[in-house]
Amino acid sequence: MLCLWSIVAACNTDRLSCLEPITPQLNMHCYQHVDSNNTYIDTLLPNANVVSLDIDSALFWDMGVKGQAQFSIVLSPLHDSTRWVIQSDSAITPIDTLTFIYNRKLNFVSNACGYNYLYDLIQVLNTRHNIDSVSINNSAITTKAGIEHVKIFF
Amino acid sequence: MSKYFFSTILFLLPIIVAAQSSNDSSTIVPPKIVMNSGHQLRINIDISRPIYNAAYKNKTSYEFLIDYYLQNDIYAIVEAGLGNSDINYDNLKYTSNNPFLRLGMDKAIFPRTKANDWGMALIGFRYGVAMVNRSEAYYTTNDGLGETTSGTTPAKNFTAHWFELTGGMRVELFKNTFAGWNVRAKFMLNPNSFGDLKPAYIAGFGNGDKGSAFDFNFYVGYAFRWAKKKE
Repeated sequence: MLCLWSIVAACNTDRLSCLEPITPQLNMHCYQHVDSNNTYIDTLLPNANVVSLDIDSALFWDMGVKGQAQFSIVLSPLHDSTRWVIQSDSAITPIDTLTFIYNRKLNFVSNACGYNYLYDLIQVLNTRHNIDSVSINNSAITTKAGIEHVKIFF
Repeated sequence: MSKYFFSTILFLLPIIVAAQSSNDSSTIVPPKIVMNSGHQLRINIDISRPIYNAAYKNKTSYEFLIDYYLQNDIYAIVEAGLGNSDINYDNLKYTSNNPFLRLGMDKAIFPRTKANDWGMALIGFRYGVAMVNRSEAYYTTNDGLGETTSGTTPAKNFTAHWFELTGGMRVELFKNTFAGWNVRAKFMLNPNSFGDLKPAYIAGFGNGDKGSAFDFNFYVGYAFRWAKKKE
């Protein structure tokens, strides 16, 4: 009986720990068109910089990342848009600015984790110094991993 | 062929044994016990709750159980109680309170051997309902990069419904005085009706974040008994 009580009591703690991710990440994948028939392949950025213009603490998010095609960034819960700068090769190429425009939605995760914001991506604006085009693949920015949200074509 | 013969014998064995028993006049048949045991109404208090209340500062509950003996080792059950919780986390602050009611039946697993044998091992089921009042909640979000927002979620009243399966024991320690325990598996029937903010604690159920909960009660009780009217 004491064992049963101990087991049940152990499951009724004052506060459970938050063990799930609460910050949604926007996953970008870099591609290159190989012909005019909309065929494209992965392109690994040789020496990439990814810099936030609007989130101070994410200013130098990814610096000098070599041979990578996928990047995860965050969106600001304080605004309806967030700007990020991408430079595919910090030694040579010019920089491009991506502006992500989105709707914010307050979301209750759990009592342990509290609330977070989820985003619905509306539009991505980009400069075209080095980037050819950008497309939205999945507009729901949540905490689910492994989802490609934006395709960037160089 | 011998396999089928053996199977047939095995299949018919109970019939053969029954036939043998009915023909054997020397077998001693135990006298049937007539349970003209009168009425029993038992009032139980869950004495584990004050211990829980002392151990967990942010929630409080009190529970009572009343059972009434019907017949054939079946008891009608009424349980009631109340409780509250005070969530005061860094990122979330609110209070909630609720009374609750549970109705159901218990069945003694082993039949009674004597008319005054009221101790039992039991299994049973319950339907539970609670009217929950949650205060306005103050929240803060943090995206991990120092960008925080804050706001409030309006107060909300709602009704929670759940189903329980339970098992336990009752032992008559002294005349009319019982001790016993129950373990419970609880399943919320309407987990999506709590709105944006599911309460961390629903007295009578448990953690409102989850659709199922397990619980343990330890009771002391007193039984009131009176004889059946002669027909």
